[in-house]
Amino acid sequence: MGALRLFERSLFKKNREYFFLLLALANIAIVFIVITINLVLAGQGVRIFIKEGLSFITTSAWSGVKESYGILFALGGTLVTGGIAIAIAALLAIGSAVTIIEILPSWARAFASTLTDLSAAIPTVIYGLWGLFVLSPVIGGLISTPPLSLLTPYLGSPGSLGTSLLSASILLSIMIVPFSTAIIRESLARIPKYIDEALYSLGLTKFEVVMIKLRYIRTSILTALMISYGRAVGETVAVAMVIGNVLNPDFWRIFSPGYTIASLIADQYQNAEAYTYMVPAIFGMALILFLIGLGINIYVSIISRRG
Amino acid sequence: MDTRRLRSSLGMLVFALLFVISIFPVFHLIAVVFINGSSVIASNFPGFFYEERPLPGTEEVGGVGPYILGTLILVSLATVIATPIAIFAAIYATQSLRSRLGFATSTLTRAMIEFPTIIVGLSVYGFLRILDEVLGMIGLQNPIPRFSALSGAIALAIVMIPFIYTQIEDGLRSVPNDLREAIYSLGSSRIKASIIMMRYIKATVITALAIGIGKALGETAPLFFTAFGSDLYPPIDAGMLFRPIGSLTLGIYNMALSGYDNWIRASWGAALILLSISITLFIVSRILSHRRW
Repeated sequence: MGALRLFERSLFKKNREYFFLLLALANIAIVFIVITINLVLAGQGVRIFIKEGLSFITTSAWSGVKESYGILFALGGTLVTGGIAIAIAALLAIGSAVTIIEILPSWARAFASTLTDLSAAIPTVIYGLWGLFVLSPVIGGLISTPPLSLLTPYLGSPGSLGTSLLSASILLSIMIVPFSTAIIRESLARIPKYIDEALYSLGLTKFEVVMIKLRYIRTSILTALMISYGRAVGETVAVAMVIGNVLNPDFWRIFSPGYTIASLIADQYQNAEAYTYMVPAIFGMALILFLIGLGINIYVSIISRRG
Repeated sequence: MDTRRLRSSLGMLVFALLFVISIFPVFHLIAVVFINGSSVIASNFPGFFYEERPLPGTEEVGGVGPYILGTLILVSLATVIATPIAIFAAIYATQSLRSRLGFATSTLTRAMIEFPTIIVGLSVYGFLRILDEVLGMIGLQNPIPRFSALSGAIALAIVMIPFIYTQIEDGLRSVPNDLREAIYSLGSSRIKASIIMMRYIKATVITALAIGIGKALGETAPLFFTAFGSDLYPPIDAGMLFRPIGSLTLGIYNMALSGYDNWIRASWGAALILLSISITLFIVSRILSHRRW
């Protein structure tokens, strides 16, 4: 009798645990989603490489009618805009992080971090709208008047409303500064107080102390910039709105309009299915975007482990 | 004043200037959207909230009613899909000790946050196309059309899940150990214990939802190859979820790039509506995340 009751009780207890284990279905769903994304991108993206071979990434051509696809111009546009954006963002983010930690009083620090989070909460399409009608006309005006217009023979000239690779780069830098600032700010705040005290006791000025502290956290700064670069590369809508969407094989001419991989995908969504190989070409580009992101993540995890 | 001191002051001044330059655009953007948007909405009030897009090239601004409806449908559907998955997964990952599946979800969701959202939409599209072919071979029809409100909601849900998940996981991990021990020492099952802990982190749960909904609301890229967009009111019937649908974000994108003056003006009005909701959700999540009750 007693044994039976014990058995019953353990069965009951087990049942309750089965109920808990049902939750694991949600975890399995998440794993399934990530694996599916990988498989779909790889499976569909590979088809364009079979058709075009390496010329998919070494030539500049995009024609549904001729069914010929080479995305060098978009790949180049992506790397160029991301590179310029990250160079501007590095300056702004380091300046902001230093100002927040070393200059502002503590009540203003909380305000600054709220502002950072707020800028991340603004939809990217609104950045795009502002970029198209407010920012890029200003930049277009700047690069169409001397002294910058003297560079036109080398760097090209903007499209209507000032759309250009440069406008896209600057808009991107505005959008990624909050992320970089947040990471740099946190590692700056983590430097122990006694290091500050030791540096000041040597008779160094504030600026000299700050420069030494920045050198001290250079790995975090690099990490912050790499992660922001990943975001810049994947940003779609805002870039598609200000970059001008022109097939520009000379993607280093940053005063002229161009494309990035993500903005080319966005620009083609309405007619992609009309052509046989355009959908595979779009998946091929998504695969490349994904691999760039993966590469950045692996690199970041390596340098942050070493640092 | 010696040169070192002068150099120091100048250097710090440069840092401060860089800070001002980096925060100025956000203020400017919010101000411009409010100024332009409110004058557009005022010029056709309250019709702007329920009318359809006007004919191009006219003087009328019309309205963005179908886009608002589309956003409401897409975001609520996505929330219904994403919330249980994210919550259940977070409970399992935190309450099942040393589980490999729990560790995997924890790692993968953090990677998912960094996925470009255009890739998420494309993957859903690609998956549904494959499903079309596979089911077609055995003579069945894919229940989810690739250009539909449903596929758009699935894409948005995949964007939301990691944001909700990470918030709730962090919340559950921050439950004090003595409370956790007290709950389990009463002999509660893990399900019961999880329910009690979820009640304890109620504020975090609402914050997580506000962040997730705010994210889904502002997304454009995942909708390109899924919801596809539509400028008219859908017929309200059972098939509504199986047809393409518009959203505020797609509406702003397409009208802003259309080149027609009155559509561009309408996109500013739509931007103001979208920005107001985003900022409201942001404030809600901010207030709640500092609160326990």
